[in-house]
Amino acid sequence: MQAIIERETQVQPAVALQAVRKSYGRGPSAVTALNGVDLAFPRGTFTAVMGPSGSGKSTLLHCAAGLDRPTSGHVWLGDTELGTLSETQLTKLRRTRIGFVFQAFNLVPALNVRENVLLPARLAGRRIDRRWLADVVRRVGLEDRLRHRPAELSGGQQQRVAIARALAVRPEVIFCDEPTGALDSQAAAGVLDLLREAVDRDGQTVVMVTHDPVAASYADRVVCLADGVVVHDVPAPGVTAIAELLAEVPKW
Amino acid sequence: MVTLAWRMLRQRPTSVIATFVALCLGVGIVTACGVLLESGIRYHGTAQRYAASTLLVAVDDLRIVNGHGENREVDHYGLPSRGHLDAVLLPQVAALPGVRAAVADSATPAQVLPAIGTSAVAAQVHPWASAVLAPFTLRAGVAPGAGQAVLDARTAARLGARPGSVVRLLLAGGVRAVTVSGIAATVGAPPADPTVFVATPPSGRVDVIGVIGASGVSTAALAHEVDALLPHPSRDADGAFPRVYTGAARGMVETPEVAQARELAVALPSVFGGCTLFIAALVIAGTVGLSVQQRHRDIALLRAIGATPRQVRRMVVREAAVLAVLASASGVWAGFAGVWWLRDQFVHRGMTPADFTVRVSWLPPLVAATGALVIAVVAAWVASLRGSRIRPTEALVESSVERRSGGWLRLLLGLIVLGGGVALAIVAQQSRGDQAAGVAVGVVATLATAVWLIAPWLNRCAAALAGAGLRALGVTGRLAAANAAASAGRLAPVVSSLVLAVGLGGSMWFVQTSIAHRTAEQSHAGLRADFVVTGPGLPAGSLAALRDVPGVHAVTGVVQSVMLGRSEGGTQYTAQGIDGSGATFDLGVTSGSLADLGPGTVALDRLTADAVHAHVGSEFRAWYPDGTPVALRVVAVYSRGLGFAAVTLPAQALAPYASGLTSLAFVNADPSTRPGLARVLGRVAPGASIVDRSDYQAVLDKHLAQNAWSNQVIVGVLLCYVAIAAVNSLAMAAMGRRRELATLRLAGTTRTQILRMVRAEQALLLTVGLVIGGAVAAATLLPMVRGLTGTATPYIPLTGWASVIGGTVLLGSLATLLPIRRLLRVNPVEAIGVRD
Repeated sequence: MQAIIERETQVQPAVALQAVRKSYGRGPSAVTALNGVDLAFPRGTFTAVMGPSGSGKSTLLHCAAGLDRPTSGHVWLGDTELGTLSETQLTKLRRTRIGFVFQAFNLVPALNVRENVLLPARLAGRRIDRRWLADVVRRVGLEDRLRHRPAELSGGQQQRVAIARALAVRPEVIFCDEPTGALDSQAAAGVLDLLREAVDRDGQTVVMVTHDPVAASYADRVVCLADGVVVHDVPAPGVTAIAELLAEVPKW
Repeated sequence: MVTLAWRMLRQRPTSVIATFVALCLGVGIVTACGVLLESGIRYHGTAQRYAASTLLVAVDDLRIVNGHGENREVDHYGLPSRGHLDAVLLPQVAALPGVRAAVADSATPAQVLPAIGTSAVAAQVHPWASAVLAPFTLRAGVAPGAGQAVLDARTAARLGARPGSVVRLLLAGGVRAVTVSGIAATVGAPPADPTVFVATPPSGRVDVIGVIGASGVSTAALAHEVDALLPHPSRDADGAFPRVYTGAARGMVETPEVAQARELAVALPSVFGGCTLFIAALVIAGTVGLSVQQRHRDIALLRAIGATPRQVRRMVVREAAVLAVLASASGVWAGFAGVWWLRDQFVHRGMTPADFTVRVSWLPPLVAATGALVIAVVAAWVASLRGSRIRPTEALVESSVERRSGGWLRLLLGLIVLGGGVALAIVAQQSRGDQAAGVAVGVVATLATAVWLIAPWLNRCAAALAGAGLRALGVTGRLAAANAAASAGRLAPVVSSLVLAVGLGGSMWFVQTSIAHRTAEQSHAGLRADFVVTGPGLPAGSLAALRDVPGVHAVTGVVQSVMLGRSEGGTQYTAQGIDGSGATFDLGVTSGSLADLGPGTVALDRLTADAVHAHVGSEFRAWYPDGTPVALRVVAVYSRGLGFAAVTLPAQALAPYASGLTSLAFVNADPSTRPGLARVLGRVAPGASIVDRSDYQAVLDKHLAQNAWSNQVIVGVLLCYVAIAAVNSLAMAAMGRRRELATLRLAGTTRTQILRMVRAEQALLLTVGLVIGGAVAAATLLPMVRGLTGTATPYIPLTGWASVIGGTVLLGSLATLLPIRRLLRVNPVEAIGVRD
C-alpha cells in the first residue's frame, strides 16, 4: 500500500484511501460494505469503479467524497485527511473541492438550471467567473435552457446540469455515481464525452462508479470491487476485456 | 439563501398556508385578550353626575390584605353597592380652607309612574342639594319642597310631566304621590340613570360627599387634606373604608356597574390568557415543526449539494421568522376586530355600560407578535436540528424510512408532564366559578402536551392492538396496519392536536352544560309555588296584602342580593333573604333547620359550607354588599344552592341592600285566586306581574343560558382554533404521502384499494384521538363538575356527544381524504419522479 503511494510521490494523488472499512449496523445483522480498501486516484485520470451489486462501490464513492465516514481507515483529499474534519468542515470542503453527480435526484426542483449550477458556489459565498460559467454551460449544451426548471428537462439533460454544477466550481476531483444508469445510449454517450473532455482538456480527475462496460471503456483505468475488497485494478482495456473481467468476478 | 427558501416554499403551498393560518389566528386571539385586558384596566366610566366636583369621598371598594410580612399584598375590589359615610364627616370637610362647597349625596332607586297607568321609569332619587355637582340647572319651575320633586328633562318627557303634574314614586316604604315642582337638565350629556330630586331623601344616610374646591387650589393638595380627615385602616385590616376619588376614578363611584364591567373585562383575559398563550404556543410549534419535517428530503438534498448544517438551519429559521411577521401583521387586525365585536356584544347584553370602549395601544399586538415570532423560530430551529445533522448519504436513500423515533428522555418527560396534568386536574376540583373555566383549559393543554410527548408509543400500542382487526380486512387492512405502526412517530403532532381538540371540546363545553343542567334541575325540584310575582320590586306591605287575599295558602318574599365572603378574599356569593314559611320552596336541607333562621343567623348551601369549612353551629364571617362586616351563626346546610342561592338569610337582614324592596314572591294559592292577586298587585306594587311556575322557570332557564355566554365565546374561539390546527396537521400529513402512494400504485394497488387503506388508517387514528381525547376530557370534566355542582355526574346532552364525535370524524375524514384524492389524480410515474 505504501508502495502505491510512493509510486506517485512526485505528484500527490487527488484522492487516496488507506485500509478503509465501512460497516452498517451492529451485532448479527451488521453489514460490511467495505472490508479494507487501499486505493489511490492520481490527478488527471478517469477511473471507473465496477462490481456486482453489493460490492460496495457506492459506499466507496461516498467515503472518498466525504459524504460518509468510514468505520476505520483513512481518506485523503490531496493532503487533507477527511477523518479529522467535522461535519461542517467536510461540507465546506465538499462544495469547493469536490464535484458529485448522483444517479438521480441531483437538482433542487424549486430552482432553475442556472441557479442549480451556481448553488454550491453561492452556498460557499464565492463568485464564479462568468466566462468559465458560460463555457461550462455551452459544453454541456444547455445555453438555451438556463431558465428552465428540472421538471421541464429530460433525464439526460438533468444529468448534464449536474455535471455542469460539478464542473463550475473547478473541483480537484469529480465523483459520479452511475451517471448514465437512467439514460438512453445517445444521452449516455453525450454525458461520457463530457466527462472525457473534462479530463483531457482541463486535467480534471474523474472517478465514476458504473456497472456498464461501455461506460467503463471511456476510462483510463478500471477498478473492480467484490465483497468490499479490490479484486482487479487494470489500465484501460477494451470493452470486451472489461466484460470478461466482470464475468470473472465472484458473484457472492 | 432567502430566495432559495422562498422558492422552496412556493412549491409547498399547503404547509405555508397551514403555518400562516396557525400563526395568524394565534396572534389574533392573544392580541384580543391583551386589548380586552387593557381596555378593562383603563376603563373608569365617565363622571357625569359628579362632573363639576373636584373630588369625591365614598366607600366604593373592598380592601383585601393577602399574605403576611414580606408577601403582603393589598388588593382593592369594587363593592357591589356603595357603603355609607359617617354624617359627621360632612361639616369637617366643609370646614377645610380649600373647599368651596361640600355636598352630601345619596341615591335611592325608585320607580316613577304617572298618576294613572303602569308605565314605570326606573330612576334614582337624590337630594336637591346635590344638583350642583353635575351641575343640573332648573329649566322650568322651582326647587322642590316637602311632597314635591324635580324631574330631569328626559324623565319628564317620557312621563309627559310638567311643573304642576302629579307623579307617583314607588319606594321601599310604599307608593307616594308627589307634585312636580320643576324640570332640571345638565349642560352636557346627562347621567345614564334618570334622576329625581327631592328636598330630603327617603333614607338619612350619606353615600357620597362631593367636594368643589376653591379656585386656585390644586386637586392633589385638596385630596391630601381631605384624606387626612378620613379614618385609616390598620395595616392588616380587611374591609370597606372611605377613600378620596379624583379625576377618572370618580366615574367608578358614580356607577357601581363600572367596577363590575372592569372586573369582567379584566377577569376574562386573566383567566383564559395564560391557557390561550399555552395553546397557541402548542399549535404554532406543532404546525411549524410538522412543515419542516415534511421537507426533510429537500433539506437533505441541500446538505448533499453543500449546504452546511448551520446554513440549512438558518434558512429554515429565517423562513419561519418571515412567515411569523407576515402572519402577525394580519392576525393583529383580526384580533382588533374580534375585541370590537366582543365589546358590542357586552354592551348589547347589558354586561357593561354603554361607555365601555376598546382602548387600543401598541403593547398587546407587540407582545402577541413577538411571542409568535419567538415560538415559530424556536420550533423551526428544533425541527431542523435533525434534518440538518443527517449525513447527506441518507438523503439519497430512496424510501423515506422512519427511524425509530423517540428516546427514553422523551418518554420520561412525557410521563412527568402527564403526572403534572393529573395533579392539576385534582387541584382543579377546588376552583370556583369563573376561574374554573381557565383552570380546565390549563389541564387539557397540559395533558395534550403529555400526549404529544408519549404519542409515538401510544400510536405503536394502538397499531399493535388494532393490528389483528385490521389485518382481517384483507390486503388493504394489512397495509393500513403496517403504515400505522411505521408512522407512529411522524403522526405524533397529528394525534396530539386531535386530542387537544376533543379534550377541549369535550370538557369545556360540558362543564357549562353540566352547571346549567344542575341549576335548572335544582330550581325545578325545589320550587313548589303555584305562582311567582316578579317585577321591579315589591314595597313594604305588599306581602301582607297578598296574604290577605282569600284562597292564598302561603306567600314567601325573597330578597335577592350578594354577600362577600371574608375568608375567601371577598368572593361573591349569591344570597337570598326569605320572609315567610318554607312551604313554597324546598331548599333540600341536609342538616339543621330553616325554622331557626332569625337575626344574626344564616343558612349555607353545601358547596359554600365546604369551601369555608363551616357546619351547623359554626360562624360565617362575611361582608354585606356595601362592605359592612358581619359574623353570622350557621343554622342549616342545604343542597339546592345552585338552583336558589348559596347563602340564605332572613329577609330583614338583606332588605337594605336591595333598597328595601322585595325582589320576588312565591305564592301557594288556588288557581282561581290569580285575578284577585293581580288586582292587589296593581294597587300596592304597580309594575309587578304574576306568572305561573312553568313560565317563571322558562325565564330562569333563558337567563342561565345568557350568563354562560362570555365563557362560551372564549371556549368556542379556542375550540375553533384547535380544530383548525388539527385539520392543518392532518392535511399536511396526507400531502406528505405523495411518493408513498405513487410507489403503491406502481406496485399494483388500485385507487379504490388505496382509499380503503387510507380510510382504515384514518379510522384508527381518529379512534385513538377520540379515546385519548375523551379520557383527557373526562379527567378534566369530572373533578370540576364535582367541585362546582356537588355531584360527579356531568350532564352531556345528546347533541353534545353527536357534535364532538361527529365533528371529529367529519373534519378528520375531510382533512385527510380530500388531499389524498387530489394526490391520486396525478400520474404515479410523475409523482414518484420529481419531488416529495
